[in-house]
Amino acid sequence: MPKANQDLPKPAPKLTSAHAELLVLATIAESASYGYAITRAIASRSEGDFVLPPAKLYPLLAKLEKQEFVTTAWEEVKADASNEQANGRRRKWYTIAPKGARRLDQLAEAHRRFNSIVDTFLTTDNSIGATT
Amino acid sequence: MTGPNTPPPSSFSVPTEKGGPRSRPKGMPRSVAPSTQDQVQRWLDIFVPMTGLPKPRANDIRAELEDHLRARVDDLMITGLSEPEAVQQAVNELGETADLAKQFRTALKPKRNTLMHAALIAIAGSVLTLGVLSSINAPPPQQATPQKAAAVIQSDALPTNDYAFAAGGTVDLRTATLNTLFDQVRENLDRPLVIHWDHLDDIGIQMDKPLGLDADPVPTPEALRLAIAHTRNPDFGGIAVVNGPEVVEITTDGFLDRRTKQIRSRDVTDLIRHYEIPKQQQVFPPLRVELVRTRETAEAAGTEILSTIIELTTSQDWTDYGGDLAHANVVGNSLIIDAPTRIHAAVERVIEMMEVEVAQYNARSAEAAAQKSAEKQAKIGSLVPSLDDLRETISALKADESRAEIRRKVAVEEAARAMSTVKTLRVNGEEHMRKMNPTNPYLQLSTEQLEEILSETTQKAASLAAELADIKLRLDDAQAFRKNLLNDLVQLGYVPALNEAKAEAQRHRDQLKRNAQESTRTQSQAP
Repeated sequence: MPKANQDLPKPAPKLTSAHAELLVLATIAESASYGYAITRAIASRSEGDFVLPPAKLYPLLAKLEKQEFVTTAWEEVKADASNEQANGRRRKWYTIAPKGARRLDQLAEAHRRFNSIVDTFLTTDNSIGATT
Repeated sequence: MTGPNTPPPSSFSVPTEKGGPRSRPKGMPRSVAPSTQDQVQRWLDIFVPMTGLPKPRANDIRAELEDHLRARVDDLMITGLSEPEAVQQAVNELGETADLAKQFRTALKPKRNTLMHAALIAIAGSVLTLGVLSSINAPPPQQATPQKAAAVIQSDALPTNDYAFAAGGTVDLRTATLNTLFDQVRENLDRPLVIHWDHLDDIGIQMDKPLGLDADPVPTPEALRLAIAHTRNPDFGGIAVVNGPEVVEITTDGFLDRRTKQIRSRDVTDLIRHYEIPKQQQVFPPLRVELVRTRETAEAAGTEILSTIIELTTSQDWTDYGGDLAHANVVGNSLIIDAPTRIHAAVERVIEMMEVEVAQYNARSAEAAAQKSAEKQAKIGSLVPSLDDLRETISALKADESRAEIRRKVAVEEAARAMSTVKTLRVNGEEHMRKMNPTNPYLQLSTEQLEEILSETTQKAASLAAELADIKLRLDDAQAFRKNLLNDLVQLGYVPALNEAKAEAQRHRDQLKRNAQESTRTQSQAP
């Protein structure tokens, strides 16, 4: 019944907290980054499907730092680069720590395993539902 | 703006440019327009204290969120929003201020033991085993060695007596720091003093900061009590003291909580009975509604009891409220709680108070029920003699009715015989009949005599019929009155009256049945 399938609302991809941690660690592992850039990178890589709101991102980063999965450093950013006297704002950079890299491996492995288990339930032509 | 893949500053250290990030000199131009700056700063001024985090940590979060907000405002302005609109949207995207503050608090809470999740999966059979597991590293149970048990003082408990171990000398709380205070305690102590500096540091307690309490020098135990109360952080707890037989330890509530965590079971049958709302269920036969207690109703009661307990015992520590320190479930009539000693004690206090309240309520209910029952008995007592009197009256009236009926029948029969004799004599001839029946005295009477008898007996029968009607009327009244009385007594739960009413109803049904059978027989015999 293809028509019935068309009527069903398309499920939107939802970012669970475990996946959010995985994506953040993966993003930082690729290159050191800071909060706002991490949000943008995730949104851009997922073509807007995954949006990690600041209310989730920053507490998560704080937690990762506390768990020593990431190391941090501060940079002073000046909006007006020509004015040396101008006061800048502080930007917090995150770099993956060895412990964080191990954690990322674990999360990635768990994710792959989860996907492979789910895949065993799906037919190759992805037409489940239409056949019944 | 720096792009996502821009490499970080090569040194990866806090920059050392003039006028460092935390101390903007007055009058310096700001890097963004004042209006944006003001709004962002205003929001941050409100948000940061809500996190309740130690100052250095809170300042870092402030700086990071400020960077986020400004970067976001820049991006939004590129899309065409005006500056105030962009600021508004950027702030809105952060969500509810209180929620965000809570998220940070939760993320940065000191680590806790997370055993309870596993523990509660298989409560019934493995409470003992898990209790042992969670007691690893915990001080020995008080019951085992009561004389050597460690006195545990957490910053919630403040009686000065608990700090008597620190007696000796006085402390000036204006200038003293925790360091100097602990040194003073150590000097007078007969046991080693172990201070877990890392635990204290973990919750942001500053050891070298003068306490600054405006008080004259006070004895050391009192100073210790005041200092512990003063340095307590509402979100992260405070200093805890374990006054053990061998050493005195200074640590934090959180660490002590983790060490003293254990699973306990508490019978709450009385509370469940009280809070349970039985289910209405139709029972057939006979069709009636009964209140039935089921597993679901007991569980619902358990949930209600549990939420009351949680609300009254530092609810933020419970997993149901986002905490990770205490968890509880109701299984059957027991409450299984996995929590530190401190919370166990608080739970016990709440349960005891609830039990006292329930016992008082039950006592009041029982008293009211007893009073109601006494009132009923009194009323029954006043009605029963009337019922007995009525029973006698009805019995007497029935006897009267029976006698009057017999007398009426005799009179009617006598009148009929007189009338019949008169007719016989008239038809067959008086002489002939008298000769033929010389032994029948009745036939020897004259016609006049017989007519006189007829008249007398007819009058008598009529008078007796009237008397009978009067008796019947009185009997009806008495029976109606008795019926009402019986109903009243049945309503009051007087068992003999109920049995009597039942028997009467049965008799009535039997009578109707007999009438119906009689009627059927008559109809079948009819031609």
